[in-house]
Amino acid sequence: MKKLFSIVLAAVMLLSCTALAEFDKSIPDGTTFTFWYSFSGVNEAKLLEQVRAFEAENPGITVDAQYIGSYNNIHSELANANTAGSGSPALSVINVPRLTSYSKDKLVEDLTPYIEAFADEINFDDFYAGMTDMMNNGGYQAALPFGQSGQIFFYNKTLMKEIGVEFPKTIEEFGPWLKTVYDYTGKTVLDVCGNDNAYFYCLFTNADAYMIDVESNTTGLRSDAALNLIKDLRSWVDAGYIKWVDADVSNTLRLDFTSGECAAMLYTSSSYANYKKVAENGENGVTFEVGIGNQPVGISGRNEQYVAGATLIIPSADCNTQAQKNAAFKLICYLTAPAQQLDWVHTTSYYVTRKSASTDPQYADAYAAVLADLPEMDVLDLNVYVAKTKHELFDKCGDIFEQYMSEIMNNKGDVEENWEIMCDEIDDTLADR
Amino acid sequence: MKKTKAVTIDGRVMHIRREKYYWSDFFLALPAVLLLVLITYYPILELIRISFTDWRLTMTSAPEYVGWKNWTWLFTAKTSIRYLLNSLQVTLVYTVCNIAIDLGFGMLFAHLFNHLTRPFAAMRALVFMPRYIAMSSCGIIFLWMLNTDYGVINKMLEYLGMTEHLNWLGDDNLAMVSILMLTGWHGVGYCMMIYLSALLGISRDYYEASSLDGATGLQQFRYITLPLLSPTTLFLFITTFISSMKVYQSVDVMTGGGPRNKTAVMVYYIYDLAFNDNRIDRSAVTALLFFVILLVVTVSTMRITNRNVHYEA
Repeated sequence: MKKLFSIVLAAVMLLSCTALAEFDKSIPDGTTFTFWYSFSGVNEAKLLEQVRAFEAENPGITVDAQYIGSYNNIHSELANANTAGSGSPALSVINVPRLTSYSKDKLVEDLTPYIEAFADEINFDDFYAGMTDMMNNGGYQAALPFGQSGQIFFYNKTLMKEIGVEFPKTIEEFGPWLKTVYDYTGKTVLDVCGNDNAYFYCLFTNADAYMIDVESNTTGLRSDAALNLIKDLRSWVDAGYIKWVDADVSNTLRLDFTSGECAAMLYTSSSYANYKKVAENGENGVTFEVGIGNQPVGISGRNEQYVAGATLIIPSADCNTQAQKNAAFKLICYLTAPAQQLDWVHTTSYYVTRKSASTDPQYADAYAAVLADLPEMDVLDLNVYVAKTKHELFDKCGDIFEQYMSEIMNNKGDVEENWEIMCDEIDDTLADR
Repeated sequence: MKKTKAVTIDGRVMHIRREKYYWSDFFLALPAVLLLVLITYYPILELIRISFTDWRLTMTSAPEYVGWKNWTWLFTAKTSIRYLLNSLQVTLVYTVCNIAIDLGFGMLFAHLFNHLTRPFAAMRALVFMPRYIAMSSCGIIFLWMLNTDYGVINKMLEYLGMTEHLNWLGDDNLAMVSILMLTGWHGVGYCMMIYLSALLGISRDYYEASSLDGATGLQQFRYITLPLLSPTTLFLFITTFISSMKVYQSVDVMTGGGPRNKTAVMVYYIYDLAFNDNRIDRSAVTALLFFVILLVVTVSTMRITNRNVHYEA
């Protein structure tokens, strides 16, 4: 009898523990939560339209959507709210590079239990793997992809047809292509965004040169492949083929490209809709068709791009109740659903984050509508979209990389000398962890 | 206690009324003193406390005491020394140039517009007006004006025959010049107004007397105006010095510390440590060091320059 009682008692305790561990996904009526975002203009209008549609579908939930400013502003506000222990939103937009420290410090909720609890509302496997991988640190799913963008080439398609050349697909084809276009136009061929390593870093990793070698905690840029690539880039800058833009980048790139001052540029994919409109309407004096080119295949045989752009996070702050966090996750499910994503992409020209958006027949019409307005989206290969090194000092090292690349490209600094100093400085930074 | 006290003035003993101290005076001043302690001295003490912890901005657990670790990092880590020395040098260069521009042009404009007529009042207003515009807005306007290929400044230089466009914000030396152009344009009006009010306070008698003695305009400026403006100059020097050392917003908007850290002033570096590296602890030690440097330099400057200041006016 005593033995039976002990077994029953143990079973009851085990059951109660299981019950405690079970995720409480309830959202009582009247739940209100705050949502911080960084989008402005037409993107903001579309986001708010989707938020209102979500509220109409879920009358028990009210979303207080607030524009905070840039990603940096949101980061500062989140950190301040974390320190103060109050004022944190239940849902926020943040950019990819912040996620490493956020998940390490557990500033954000691990979304894994939410994904499991709301499995009927979100199909996690439907996201492009590269995107969700980047937001996962050692099993800690810090965020889900939302406004994703990549590092792509825009080019003057009309001009390329006129010259009779195609945009290069490999790094070997790059030099001859630059020369051909330059000989034809006599103008700069390619503007490169030089103040953010995110754009030109792919050229290096596709040559197997990584900024941080995690194993040795030193830079992988101290390689012949990296040095040779820098030498090639510098020779193209010296020849007048490439303009390395490191100040007032956004204005310069937009004006250079849309006014026909350069034939191509390396920048963010999220600018596609805007450039297309300006170029096709001839708003800057030249009318042309805009083409999109993926990263060229490097000596590694790969043409990877890196996950960048906006993600959705749920701050772990105690000032929000579990019900508010659940409601926030429900909004994540809604905003990242294929139908809403296609609607969002149509306005913003961010990448589609869900595989089914382009493959499932139920979204075929919506996808066709996107391609009708933004035909080059079809050129993008989202399967080459991979996670960048998840290292908390990646951005810090990236700043050094950018500075020395500018020194070499624009100040005509000695290539090998500056490359050596750059590698030393990155190594010092990594050692100072 | 006696109501008067004896003091000796010019060899004569005089009895003057003792000052009375009342508790009510103390309590009236107390709120202001408490506010000052709360918003000025408490944060400094808190900064000292933080400098001995491992506080990262994003951490959710309580910061732990780490002793002198952050101070050791500040003075021994290669990265710290490199960025610290660079930002100190950049800040010093900016400060010296900004003081020269603000005080020099401020005094020049004060002399040029020192006439109480309407056209001159309009000119004074024009020079002072930038002060009313937020620095961030001014920064964005300058960003456009200084754009290498499309900016109005380079277009104007092109009309004047300069064929090559200047990379105002991307060139190592020109980036600092660009920031100085912005802050100078923004700040010179204030110095002009202060100098103007000081000029109006100088008695005309000095000038009339010197004219009778045959002094030229330049001599009047050298031997009358300049010495009698010295208290104003000292005041403007100290305030401009402190505000220049703390410059941040214009750098943030215009160059973001670049190119290659050539405009990474001290406050920008401190902000970068706190909000980009998330290292509040390292930011705190750097800020404290900067505070000490600022205090020492300001006090020394006041002591040195006070000897040459004439308060007769």
